[in-house]
Amino acid sequence: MMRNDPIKHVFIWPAVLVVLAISIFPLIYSLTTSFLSYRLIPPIPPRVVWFGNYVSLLQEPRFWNAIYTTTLIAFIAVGLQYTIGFAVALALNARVPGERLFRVALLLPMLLAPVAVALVARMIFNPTMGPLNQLLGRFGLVNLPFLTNGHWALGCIIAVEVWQWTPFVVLMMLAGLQTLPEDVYEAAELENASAWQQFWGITFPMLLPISAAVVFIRLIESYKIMDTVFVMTGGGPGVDTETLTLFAYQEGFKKFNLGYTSALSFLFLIAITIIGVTYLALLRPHLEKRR
Amino acid sequence: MTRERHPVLDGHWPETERDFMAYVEIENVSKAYGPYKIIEGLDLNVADEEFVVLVGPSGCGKTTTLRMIAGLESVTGGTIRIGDRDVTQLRPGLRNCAMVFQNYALYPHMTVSENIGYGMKVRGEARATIEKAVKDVAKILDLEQYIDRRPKQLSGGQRQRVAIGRAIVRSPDVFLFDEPLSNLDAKLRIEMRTEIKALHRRLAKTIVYVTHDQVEAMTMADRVVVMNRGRIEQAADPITIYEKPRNLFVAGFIRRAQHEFHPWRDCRPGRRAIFHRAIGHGIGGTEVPRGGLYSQHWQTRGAGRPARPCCPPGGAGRLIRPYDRERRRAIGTAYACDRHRWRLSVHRADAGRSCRRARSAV
Repeated sequence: MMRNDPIKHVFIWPAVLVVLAISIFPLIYSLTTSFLSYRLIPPIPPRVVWFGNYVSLLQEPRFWNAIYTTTLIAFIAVGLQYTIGFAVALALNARVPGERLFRVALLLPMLLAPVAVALVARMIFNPTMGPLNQLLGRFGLVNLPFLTNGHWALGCIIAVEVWQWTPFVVLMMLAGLQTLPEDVYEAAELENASAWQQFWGITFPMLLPISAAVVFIRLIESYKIMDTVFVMTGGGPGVDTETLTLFAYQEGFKKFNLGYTSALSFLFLIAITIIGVTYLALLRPHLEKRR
Repeated sequence: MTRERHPVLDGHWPETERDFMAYVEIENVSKAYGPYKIIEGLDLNVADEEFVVLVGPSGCGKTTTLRMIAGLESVTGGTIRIGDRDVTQLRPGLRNCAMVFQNYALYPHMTVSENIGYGMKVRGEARATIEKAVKDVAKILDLEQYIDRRPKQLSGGQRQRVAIGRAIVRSPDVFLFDEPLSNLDAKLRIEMRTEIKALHRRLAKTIVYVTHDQVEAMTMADRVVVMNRGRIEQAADPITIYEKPRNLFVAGFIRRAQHEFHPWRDCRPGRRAIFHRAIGHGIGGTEVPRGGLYSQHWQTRGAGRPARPCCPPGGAGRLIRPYDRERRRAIGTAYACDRHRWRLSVHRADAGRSCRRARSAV
């Protein structure tokens, strides 16, 4: 078949149209909306405000608070997920007795729906009726304001995130660990490298590419955190645990302020892109070295 | 002790250390994986500065033996000594052995120089010392222009040289080679063989080398140890192994020929046997061993005894009767010992090419 055979259009255009319909069109639609003042309640006709939505968003302290909260949750949670997950993967890779049982048990949280996890967590952390406070009470501790104090609530959300998503890190790191060649460790063993030196000199650098991918995926996912916060605290107390998605939800589906919400989504997209690009730029020299 | 000065370690190593006698003693060592006994009661002594090659078919326990010396494999019973140290229970890092692996086992994320210097870095030596040592080793192994490359960017032979460099940079007591050349192509294998042998002369270190390649074993070793099913069949210098294999297995494995033993004649203990045209009768006139009759052609038949010559005239592996070229046969008189019945056998393959070499030795 020649390059300019017209039949190529039969193969290309359906794909292009599908991509346009399901990906490009909504994006452009939402971009246009973000330049409008577009409210459903009260129903006033849309009006072009250009960057008005963006400007008012950037001047809104609640927006910056949401960015701060989301970043805090994402970075702390992913940091803990990665550290704990890597450690658990190392432990599972060391063929401890009962390792298979651990492997299955540790993967379970990941299989649960985040909403269900959040519901269970909300009950456990319930300051007055939750079993956690009851248990602490047994030891003579006072009731802790798990979900009613801003800092505690953030901590609880992070804890639930870590609980649910560490298994993902374990799974990925374990897969990575199992691909590492054994004789390299034997060589290091003969060099009298301690376990710590072997980890930092061999395991960690050899798993850096996979680590980078895992952290990247988890970071992006964590920025989109919604259901956990929605169910556990609803963004409260006040707006102490309000994340970007939750903020968008409040604006879009409580106030039906669609132009504003679209602008918010685009700012969100820009923020994530900036984080992603920075992250990759920081890691690139290290990753390229390993190619 | 006369020894070439170590080009890398001159000035780095204390004098007493260099005079350390790095002989390896394996005493009654056994290894079992659960109920499966891989090695039973293995005894092997490797002298200081000796190049010993363990050879045998796959699954014969040679690599396991090597890994037990290195400490990568635990020992089920027996003791292993390096020099005057009992290392049986020591972890690998404390045995001061360096190993070259079949798959090179290079650190893929490090450059050649980092690979070679890793061991020194781990031991916390000064950067300048490491750099100098790495440079010297790279020079010896002709790796200077590749020093900043990663293993992936090197050919198989270069990778193996890096692995060897990593071993020699730390000046171990014992070098262990685990089939280091089996991943290389035939031409390179021959080159590397020569290089490793030259390196042994240069460094004058104890080397235990595992291979399944008879040619490698015969060309490189000071002493060849032929192993089979976890036992040592024969440990001797290559010429002896070649010309005077102790038993059928060794003969078969080294000479790559299917040897047959032909029973000749049973004799009672203490009796004299006289051969005349004897062998020709047994297996046909052209199949007389052209090297003459050697004691490995004798088998004793004591109860439970291994099938090997016990005390043929002149001792084990000796020529009993030279080949008579004119009459195309070996004839003579031999005596059996007092304890065993014995019989005379002849390798059928001795009639072939392999025996011409024996003749020239005669």
